[in-house]
Amino acid sequence: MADGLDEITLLKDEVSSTRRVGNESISRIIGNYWLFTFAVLLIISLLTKQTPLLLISMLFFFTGGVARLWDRYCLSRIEYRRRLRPNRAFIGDEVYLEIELTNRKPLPLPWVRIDDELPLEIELLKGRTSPSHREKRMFLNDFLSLGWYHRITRRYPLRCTQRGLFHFGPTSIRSGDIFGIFSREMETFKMNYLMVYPKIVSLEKLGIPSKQAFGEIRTRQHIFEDPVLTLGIRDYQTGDSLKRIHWKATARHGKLQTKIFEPTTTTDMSIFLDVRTIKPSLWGSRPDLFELAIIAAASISSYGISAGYRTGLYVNQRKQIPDVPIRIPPGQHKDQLMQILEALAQVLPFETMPIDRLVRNESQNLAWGSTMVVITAMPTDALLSTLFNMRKGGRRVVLILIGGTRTAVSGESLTVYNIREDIPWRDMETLPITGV
Amino acid sequence: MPAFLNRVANFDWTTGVISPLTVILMEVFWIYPWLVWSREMFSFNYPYTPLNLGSLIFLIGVPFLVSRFLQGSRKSLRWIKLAIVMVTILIVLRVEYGGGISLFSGQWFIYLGRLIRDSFTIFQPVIPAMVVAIYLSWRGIRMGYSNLFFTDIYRSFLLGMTALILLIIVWTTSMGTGTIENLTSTVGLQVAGFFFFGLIALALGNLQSIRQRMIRDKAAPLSNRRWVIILFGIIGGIVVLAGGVASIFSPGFITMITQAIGYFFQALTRVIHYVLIPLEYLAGGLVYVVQWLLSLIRGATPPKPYEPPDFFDPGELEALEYQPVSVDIVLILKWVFFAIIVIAVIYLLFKSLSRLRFTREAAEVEEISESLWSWPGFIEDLFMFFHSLFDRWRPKRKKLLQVSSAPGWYTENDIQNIKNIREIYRHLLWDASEHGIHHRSYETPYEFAGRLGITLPDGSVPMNELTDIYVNVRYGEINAGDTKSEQANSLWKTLRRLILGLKKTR
Repeated sequence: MADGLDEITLLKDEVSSTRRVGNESISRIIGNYWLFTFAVLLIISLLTKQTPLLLISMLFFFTGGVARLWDRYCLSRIEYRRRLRPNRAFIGDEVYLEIELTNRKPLPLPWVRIDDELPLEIELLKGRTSPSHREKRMFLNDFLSLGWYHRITRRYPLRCTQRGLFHFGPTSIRSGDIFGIFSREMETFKMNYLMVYPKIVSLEKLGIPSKQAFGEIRTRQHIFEDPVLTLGIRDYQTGDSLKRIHWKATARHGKLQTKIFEPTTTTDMSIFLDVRTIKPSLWGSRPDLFELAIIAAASISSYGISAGYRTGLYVNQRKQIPDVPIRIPPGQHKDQLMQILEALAQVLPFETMPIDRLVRNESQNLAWGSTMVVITAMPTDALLSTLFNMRKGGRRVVLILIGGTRTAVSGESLTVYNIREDIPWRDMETLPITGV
Repeated sequence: MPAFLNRVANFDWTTGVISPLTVILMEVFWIYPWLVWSREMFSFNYPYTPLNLGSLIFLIGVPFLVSRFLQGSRKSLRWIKLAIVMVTILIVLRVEYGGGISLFSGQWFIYLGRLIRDSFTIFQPVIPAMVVAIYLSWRGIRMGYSNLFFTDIYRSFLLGMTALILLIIVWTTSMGTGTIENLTSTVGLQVAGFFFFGLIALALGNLQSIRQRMIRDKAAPLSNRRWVIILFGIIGGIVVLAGGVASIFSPGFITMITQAIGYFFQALTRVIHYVLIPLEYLAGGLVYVVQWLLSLIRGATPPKPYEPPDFFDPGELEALEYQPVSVDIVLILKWVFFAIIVIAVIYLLFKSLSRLRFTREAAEVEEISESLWSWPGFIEDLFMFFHSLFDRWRPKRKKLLQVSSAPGWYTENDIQNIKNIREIYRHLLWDASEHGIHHRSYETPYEFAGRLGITLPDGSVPMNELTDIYVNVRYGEINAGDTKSEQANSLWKTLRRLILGLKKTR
């Protein structure tokens, strides 16, 4: 994921050409008629031998010349850089936005104005902002003065108040001469991304008993085998699956040989997150329920990995970067939790397919002994029906209801937990990441 | 009281004082030469201009302050303001045209009336003085009501410049070319002063406009030390350079400037002399005490009683008492006054900025400032600049640059505005090779960029960016647009400057 972000940052690194902006009527006199006016004054002064007029013409010439010098070169050999340190954080963390402007030429810049577009969801702790015409965006306004061969770096502290993937940029840079006759502007389209992970809280605080809530690991030991780890071979016995026959060994021995797999001590836990929070066919979302569902998914994932489950995540939504379905198969790799958190950070409240269909599709690829944890705020009949069928088929299914208002779910056949809507999740502290 | 002090401490001197003051001085410095012209034109019966510089500043300054700080729509307030403005005009006229009448005597009004009446037969200086007084009062009121935005100042600047040009033409046509030296010596410095203050006013107005467009926060910093250095450096440079060029054509102008400088240093020497007198007393006293102590130790006769130096020399006093105030001294006084104003402007500007700097350090974001200056880089940039200037008149060699094969060498003329990214990269390899960083045949562009970054830490960022662009073009077969080409060219120029700073290996 980290590579993916950086790659996109580079691909979008575009700088526009500079263009003249500002008051045209003012720049016209010195801009368009500058040399002409100077020449007329000079000729008159020489003809009439008037030194004061010559002085005026010289002053006019130098003023116009200086203004035009800045007009031409003010934005050349300017380097602009924006950095986020770090570019990943949890809700409530502080990060730094660094803005660096370098002037690599002998011409000093009396003024440079930088308008950097930032997400409104991030709290800027220092610095001045102005509203943007775009929704949920604002401008960070910087006003600098650079000498020759000079670099200025400004560090703005930010507080991450909301989960999400936020982009910083584009940026417009404007400069000009000291008198305000000419000014030029250029834009950089380079984006930087800040990923804010959801909170991870203890399951007890969410109202879920964590002790064996998702199935006992100990009792299932040695029942399942890992098909990747082959322990050895033995002679074929009636009833052995054809898939387990080792064909090369069979050819060598001249009789059927069956593979023996190592028994596995871990079980899988697949978390299915439903992003829908209002009735189907309606468009919209209930942000509090949605965030609570994501926090539940993050917390269960963290618990699962630390408890020894091979944990995976499936969401009926697509990632923002890259644009692929959110589908992380169960695993116990050390980066598994970070992958899940990064996926959860990008989740938006708009479904790409109904959750029941996602569960049906993905269940075909899951190991037989895996636990399916379905988190939803809107348990539809179709979903419940799918889960009952799964349960009947021998799978372990856990349903977590966000909001907990539905009573139609029978707890006899499914394990159901309710997470109340009024849980003060904003005030809860994020647990340290374990099992990574 | 603390609230008042707080308000004073947070007062924005640049916007509230310096910017209006520079606009006022700009206005004064184009009006004053017109008064000089009226003096020369109508040969008034006394040798002074109808109004002096101080009066002009007072006439525009008081209405400005009145309309700026007494704001309101009440009718009574309007009458009060009008009364203050009228009183200001009368005070100025009373000071300038006293006629030897005692200060608070009503006879002066009769004298003024007589002067106006006499103007119908012999033109009196009081008429241009009154016209200018009314105009300046009106300007002061207008300025007080306006925000002194850039466009207002720009309009005033153009008006002043046009008025000065017109004055010179009118002067020449009305009095002939025989008065050129007179004109130069009288209005030359006023022209310089007009441009000096006018350009400062424009710069301040520009900065204020930018700030107000950007943020509506009154406490926002207006400027900083770097900005002020650039401001005075540029404007001072323009005025001095233009004056220097103009003086080449006018010996009178040089004489006038050297005279003005001479007067200034004479006055300065005298001031230093008077400042040193107390020290002379002190030194004399100390010598006497030491002599007296030595005489006590030796048992010799005590020294003669201490006689302090005679400060009031009767001859000098006599000369001072009876010597009439010459025109030269008046001129010196005027320019000293002018210099004091300039120094005051600079002092206030620096003071306000240093205050802003300290408050910003406490409240503003963390800022790191680095200098990237180096002599080789600067000299290289100068060469590049002059090459680009002269290249306009040289025959174009762009056709040669279209050749796609790698150059074994290239000249400085070849390197301007190359659009082909692959060619830029080849030039980069050539430059690096010349300075000891050879590209190895098995190296990928990124490996080479990493190695170059070790030798040139400052160049690692632009090198990485250039490498990315090159790799996209070379291996991704992406057709880079003009923007990318310009960016690559700019990056390469930066890198080139850094590479050329290395020691050449062959």
